[in-house]
Amino acid sequence: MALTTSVPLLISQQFDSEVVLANYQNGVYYNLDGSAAQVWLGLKANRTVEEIGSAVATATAGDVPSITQQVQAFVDSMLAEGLIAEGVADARSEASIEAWAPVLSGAFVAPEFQRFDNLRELLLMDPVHDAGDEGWPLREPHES
Amino acid sequence: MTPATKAGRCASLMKASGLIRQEIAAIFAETASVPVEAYARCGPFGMHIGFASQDLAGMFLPAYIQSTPSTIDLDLRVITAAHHDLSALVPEAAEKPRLLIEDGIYSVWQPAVIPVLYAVDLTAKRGIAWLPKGDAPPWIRSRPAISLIHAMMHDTPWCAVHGAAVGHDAGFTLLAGEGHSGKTTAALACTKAGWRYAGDDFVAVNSATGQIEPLFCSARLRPALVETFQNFIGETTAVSDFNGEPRHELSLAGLGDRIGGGRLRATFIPRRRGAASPEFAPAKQSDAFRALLPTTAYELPGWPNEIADKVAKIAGLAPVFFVDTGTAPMEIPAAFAHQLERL
Repeated sequence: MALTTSVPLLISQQFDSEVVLANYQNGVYYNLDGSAAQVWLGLKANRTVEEIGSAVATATAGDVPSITQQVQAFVDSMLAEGLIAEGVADARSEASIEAWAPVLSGAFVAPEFQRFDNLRELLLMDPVHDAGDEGWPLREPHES
Repeated sequence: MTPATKAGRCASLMKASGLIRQEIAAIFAETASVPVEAYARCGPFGMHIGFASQDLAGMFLPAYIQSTPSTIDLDLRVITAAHHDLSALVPEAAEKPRLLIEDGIYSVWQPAVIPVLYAVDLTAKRGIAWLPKGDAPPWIRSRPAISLIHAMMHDTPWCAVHGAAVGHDAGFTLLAGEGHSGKTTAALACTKAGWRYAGDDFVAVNSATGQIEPLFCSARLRPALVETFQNFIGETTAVSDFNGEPRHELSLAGLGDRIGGGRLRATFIPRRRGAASPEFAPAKQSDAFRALLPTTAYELPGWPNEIADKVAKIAGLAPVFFVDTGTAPMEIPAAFAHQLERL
C-alpha cells in the first residue's frame, strides 16, 4: 500500500528531530518526537514500512520483526487519525533514498504521537476558520 | 431591475473574481468623495481609508494608527448595505464562511451573527469592507480588514501573527499563546511602564529579518483587569459584550510615538502555573510555532502552508521561553526587561 504524507488541510513542519502536524480543518495539533518523527520522515521520503522498520532497528540495535510490527501499528494509527493517507507516493529517486536515514540514539522506544485538541472549542467559535477554497458559488439572479 | 439583480445576471456570465473586481471599481467610482477619510499605517503598509459615514469611522478609526499621507499600499472603502448593494456578491449558502483567491482578487465572506464581506483587488490596491447590517462584531472592530492585510503580505516575508508585542532598549518580545494566556495583561503592563507597544492581538512580523511592526493601536481588556490599568486607560472605555465575553475596547492612539515596532529579541509564551512572581523556563522553536500558528492560520484565510512556513521561521528567529507572568502584573515589565537584557 502506497502512503503519502501530503494530506489536504494538514500542515507539517520539521524542527530538528521533531515534527509538528496541524490539521487546518479541525484545529487539532500533533507532536511527533523520537521514533515517531523518524517514521513520519521515512514515509515522507517514500520508504515502505518494512524499510523504515529495518532502518530504525539498525539505528537502535533492535529486533527487526518486532520493530517493524510496531512501526506498522503506528502507521495504522496515523492513517486512522488522518495524518497520512493512502495514495500514490512520490516517485522514488536516488536522491531521496540517500537523503533519509533515521536519527535516533539509545534503545528503540515505540512511536506515538501527542495530540493537542485544546484549541478546538475556541476554533469552533471563530466565524472564519472553515472558510475553504472550494470557490465562491454565486447566487442565481432573481427578477424582482 | 434592481442593481443586485443586474449584478446577479452578470454573475452568471463572469467569474466571481471578475464580478468582485467590477463591484470594487464601481464602489470607488461612487465614493470619490467620502464623509470621512483617514491615513493610517498598518504593519509595513500605508493605507488610505474612506468611510461612507461618520458612524463607520467612529466604529473603526480608533483601532487604526493614523498617520500623515504617504505611500498608499491599500486604498480601503468601508461601506454598508445602505450605501451600496453588494448582496449579489454574497455567495450561495450564505451561512458558510467563504474564501476566494482568483485572478488577483482575494475575498472573504464572514457570516456569523454580524456578517462582513472583505475584498481586495491586489493589482489595483483597492479594497472594500462591506457591512450588510451596518455593524461589525467587536473583534473585527479591534482589527479591521486584517484579512486584507494578510492578502497583501502574500509573497512577501511579512506575516500577521497572533500575538502581542512590546519592546524597550533591549529589543522586542513577541508574546505568543492562545486566548486568556495573559498576552494583553503583559503587553499593557509593559506599555504602562513606558515600553513601546506594537499590539496585544495581532502584529506584523518580517519572517526574514525579525522586524516587528504594529498593525493596530487597539487592545481588548477583560473587566477584571480594568482596576490594574485604570489610570493608564482613562476613566471610560467602550465595553462590548459578545457571546457573554465582556471586553473594554481600548484605543491606545494616545500613546503617540510609543506605538511602534522594532527588532524581535525573544519570544515569550505566557502560561499560568501558579507562580507569584514572573518565572521563565526555556522553550523550543516548536513550542513557539504551536503557540503562534493556530489562531494565526484560522483567523487569516488563505495560503495556510505559506503561513506555516513564515511562522516556523519567526519561531526560529529568537530564543523562546515559557513565562508564568505571576499574580502581580506590574512586576512583569522588570522581569521581562531583565530576561531580555540577559540575552
